[in-house]
Amino acid sequence: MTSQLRYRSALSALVAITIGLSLTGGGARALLAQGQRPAAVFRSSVDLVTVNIVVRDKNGNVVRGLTRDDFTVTEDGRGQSIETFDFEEVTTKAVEAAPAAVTTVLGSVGRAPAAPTPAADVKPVIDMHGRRLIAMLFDLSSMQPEEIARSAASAREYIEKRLTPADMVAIATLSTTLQVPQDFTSDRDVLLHTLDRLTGVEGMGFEEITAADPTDASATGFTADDSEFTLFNTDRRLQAIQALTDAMAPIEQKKSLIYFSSGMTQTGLDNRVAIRTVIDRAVRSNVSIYTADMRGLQALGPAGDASQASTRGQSAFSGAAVSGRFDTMSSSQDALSSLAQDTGGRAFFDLNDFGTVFDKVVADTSAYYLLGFSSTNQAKDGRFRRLRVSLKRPDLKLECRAGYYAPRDFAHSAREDREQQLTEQLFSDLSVTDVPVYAASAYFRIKGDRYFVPLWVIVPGSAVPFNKSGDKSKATLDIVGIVRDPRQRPVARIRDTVNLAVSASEQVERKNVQYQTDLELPPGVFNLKVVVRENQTGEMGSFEAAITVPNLTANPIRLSSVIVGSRLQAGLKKDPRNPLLQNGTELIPSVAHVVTAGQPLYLYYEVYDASSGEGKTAPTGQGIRVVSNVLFFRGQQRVLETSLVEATAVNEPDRKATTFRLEVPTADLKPGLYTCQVNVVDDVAGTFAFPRLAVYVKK
Amino acid sequence: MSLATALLTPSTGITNNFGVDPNYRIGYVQLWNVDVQRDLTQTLNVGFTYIGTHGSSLDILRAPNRGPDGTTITGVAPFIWESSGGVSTMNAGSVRVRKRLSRGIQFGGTYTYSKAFDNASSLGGGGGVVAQNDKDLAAEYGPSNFDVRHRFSGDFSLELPFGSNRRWLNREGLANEVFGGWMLNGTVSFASGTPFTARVLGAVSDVANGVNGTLRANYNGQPITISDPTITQFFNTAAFSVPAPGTFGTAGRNTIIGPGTKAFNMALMKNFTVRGLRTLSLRIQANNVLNMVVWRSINTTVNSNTFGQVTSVGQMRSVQIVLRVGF
Repeated sequence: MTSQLRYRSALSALVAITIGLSLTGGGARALLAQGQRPAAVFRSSVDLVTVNIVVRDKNGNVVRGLTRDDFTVTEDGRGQSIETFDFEEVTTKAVEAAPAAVTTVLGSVGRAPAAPTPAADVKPVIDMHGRRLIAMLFDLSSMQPEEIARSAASAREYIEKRLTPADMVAIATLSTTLQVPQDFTSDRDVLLHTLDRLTGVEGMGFEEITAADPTDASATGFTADDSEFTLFNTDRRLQAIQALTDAMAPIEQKKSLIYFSSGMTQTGLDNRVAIRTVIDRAVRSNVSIYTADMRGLQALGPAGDASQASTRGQSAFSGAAVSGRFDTMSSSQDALSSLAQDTGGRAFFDLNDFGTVFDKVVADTSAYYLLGFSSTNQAKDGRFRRLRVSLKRPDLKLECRAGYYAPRDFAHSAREDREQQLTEQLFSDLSVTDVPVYAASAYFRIKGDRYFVPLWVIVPGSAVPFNKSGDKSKATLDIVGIVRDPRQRPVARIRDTVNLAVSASEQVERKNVQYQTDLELPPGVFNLKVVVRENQTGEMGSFEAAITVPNLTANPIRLSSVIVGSRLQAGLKKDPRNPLLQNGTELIPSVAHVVTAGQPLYLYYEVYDASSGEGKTAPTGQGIRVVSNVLFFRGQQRVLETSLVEATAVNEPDRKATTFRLEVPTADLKPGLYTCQVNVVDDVAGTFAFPRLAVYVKK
Repeated sequence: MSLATALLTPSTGITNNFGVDPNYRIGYVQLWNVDVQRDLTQTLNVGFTYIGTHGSSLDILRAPNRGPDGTTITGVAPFIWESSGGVSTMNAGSVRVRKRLSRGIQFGGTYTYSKAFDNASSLGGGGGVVAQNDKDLAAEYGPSNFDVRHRFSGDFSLELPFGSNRRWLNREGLANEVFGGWMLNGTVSFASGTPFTARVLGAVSDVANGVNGTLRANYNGQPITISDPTITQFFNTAAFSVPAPGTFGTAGRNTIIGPGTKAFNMALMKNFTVRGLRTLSLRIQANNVLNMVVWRSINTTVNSNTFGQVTSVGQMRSVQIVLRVGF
């Protein structure tokens, strides 16, 4: 399946009120009707930086009763004034005014693996004062059944015996996809029930959670050697951790993520980028990762265990085989260790008492001071800012994070992050619609059951902030798209950056940016999703639509899409497949079927395999007779009828197509909504088609 | 002999020169190890390991009909007898230090001291596998072909502090694109040499017996290693001589310690994300980055003109640039 992506962007005629635009386009419609930019919205956002500090005395006991004045905070050496000060203590008593038993924090995560963070710069803040938040991630993809049982047992023990009313626990699993069977709750029974399903105590539960999803979007479906597989698997695990930490970001308090797995092997250095990203995001979201290696304390059989082939050759005698086993073991723990270490958590290896994992989490989150300040450095540059918190009493010890990453606005984000953002949008279930986008397609038969499918993506010019430089208005748009077949397999991808530079005298706000690309598809119903981002503010919009390519062979008369346009563009490269391109000029379709009164209106369509009598089709096109004309109705009343056009030859022998390009005089059409009926009659075969479409004529 | 009977009458000249012990046993190895590890800090781990191996019923090639000056059983052609009487033993102690990846830095090193002995000269490859004197198999007992007394291997990997989310050049721009996000890693290894046997090639009786090259040299007790080995004389050649005809050599197996190895490889790598879903990783890797001369093997054939000389060297520096596209 080819996806030859040729593109051309064109500023086509103004669209005011459009017919057939979906909801996404609705925003555009409203804006354009007024002919102006949306009113400015004033936002006041304070980026409060929070720091949790555990203060201990010489004996390691938590010190209570300190006040705001005891602390000084510097950021990159500059003193900061503490604006909020709080002592968080998780008590065993129920918290007053407790939030609902189940909160939806991770709600969006389960459905879309690697769910993106909301791109919005003002995030909702969820206050979980006085609560201890623990998310447990069970990596079912790496653990053996007995290890899953072991991890569930240790979690169960904690929940049964030590869960306090102040604790909020969430349970997530990673098999082929990341799922959240249980969002944050303090309900012991609910948690235990979820854990039961994990261990298969309730029969079907296990399959339910680990059921493989072959259509999983995150599995990009390639087979390669083992190292690629490990690389991919490890990256996927890291993505899952990242999705969870991102989802917990809105909670102000300290959060802990316990990752139960049986090791995570890095492929050389290829997974480093992903590890780095997870650590950065976790630090930013104030999440500490605690990793527990559920293989426990292992006595490595010097000659390997029963799961491996027996050791052969010299390495058995020289001891190399044994030391190799130690190396493999330690490398499978390295990634876990760095995740924990760099996020302020802790890695637990070679342990059989996994209760200590919870001990550490509890100790780290029991009592801490929560300071908040708004940084004197307001630049949203995404840079690391070094924090130093000091106490006026030298006999006490402090534990706090070493710094934080400043928020990053779009202008400061790195190219990789931008690409990542687009990809995440493409696979996200919950799409952003900050930029109005509309996409449409048509179909023309090429040969047999292959169809040429042009795709148009339309963004209103008013939604694109143009930069005036000299006499040009400039802007760039990033466009990504994916076309999936009915079985959800991707058949084509679109990735393009469109640089727009139009003369400033043209009123770009009043026009549409129309991007065109094309595909070759067999008949079927395909799903198209496009994401468009304009690169000034980083706002994105997405549009999802079905592309229907009918199987024309079943039709008595084989008619292509009817294209409406009012503009011909000359001087384009010849593409023999593109039927809209004829004699060096191309019909620029008006995707929304809107034309200006007085401008010419072109209609284009093709009839395939016209009959030359007795059910035969003439390859030379001799002896055929296809007649066609166009009617315009306003309400029930016929207002325009064009004269009959008669075709007696196949003028596109490659496609066996008789093509019609009609120019309709619109001078007599008053502005308003019309129903346009295209009459096509195959006079020889006696077959006909009367497709109808809505056309809006504006002043 | 006529054509009609040619295939029915056995020829008298056929002799068999190889046999296998009917009680031949497949060799086996027993391994045991003790490992003690301790996390000094959360990311710094030290470990002490003892590894022992004992091989039994190992393959050993003998020539029972071979005497110092001809066959010992009259009227019987010389032959090689494969049996399973070999033993091996190895003891190794090692110290490991491992700094796990945190803040972009990771390194590790292992030092191992080991001794390996066997009398199964077929173990681990190597030439001259037939025992010299079938009546004195104990003389075959010596260092294993893979016996390396000291070995150190280490590795490191470090993220260079340039680029997004790092110390310097973390702003968007050309400098970040070019210099940001690089990672440097390398491996080093140093090891003492593997042992070689001083032997005689082309002794008349050996050639006749089909065991050419298995006669060892005579050893006169002088020290074998010399303080300043050169390419023309790597060890004390005067310590060895060709044994008198009709006698076996007195030198033991694997008594000459060959040249040690040293290796230092480095790689510099960077990952790019190109056009959305594709990743591009650029890796510049250099083997033997310091271009050190590493002697590989020496001539230990006492009757050779190049006896005692270094006969091959390891590879010179080689640099590879690898571009890998993931999609």
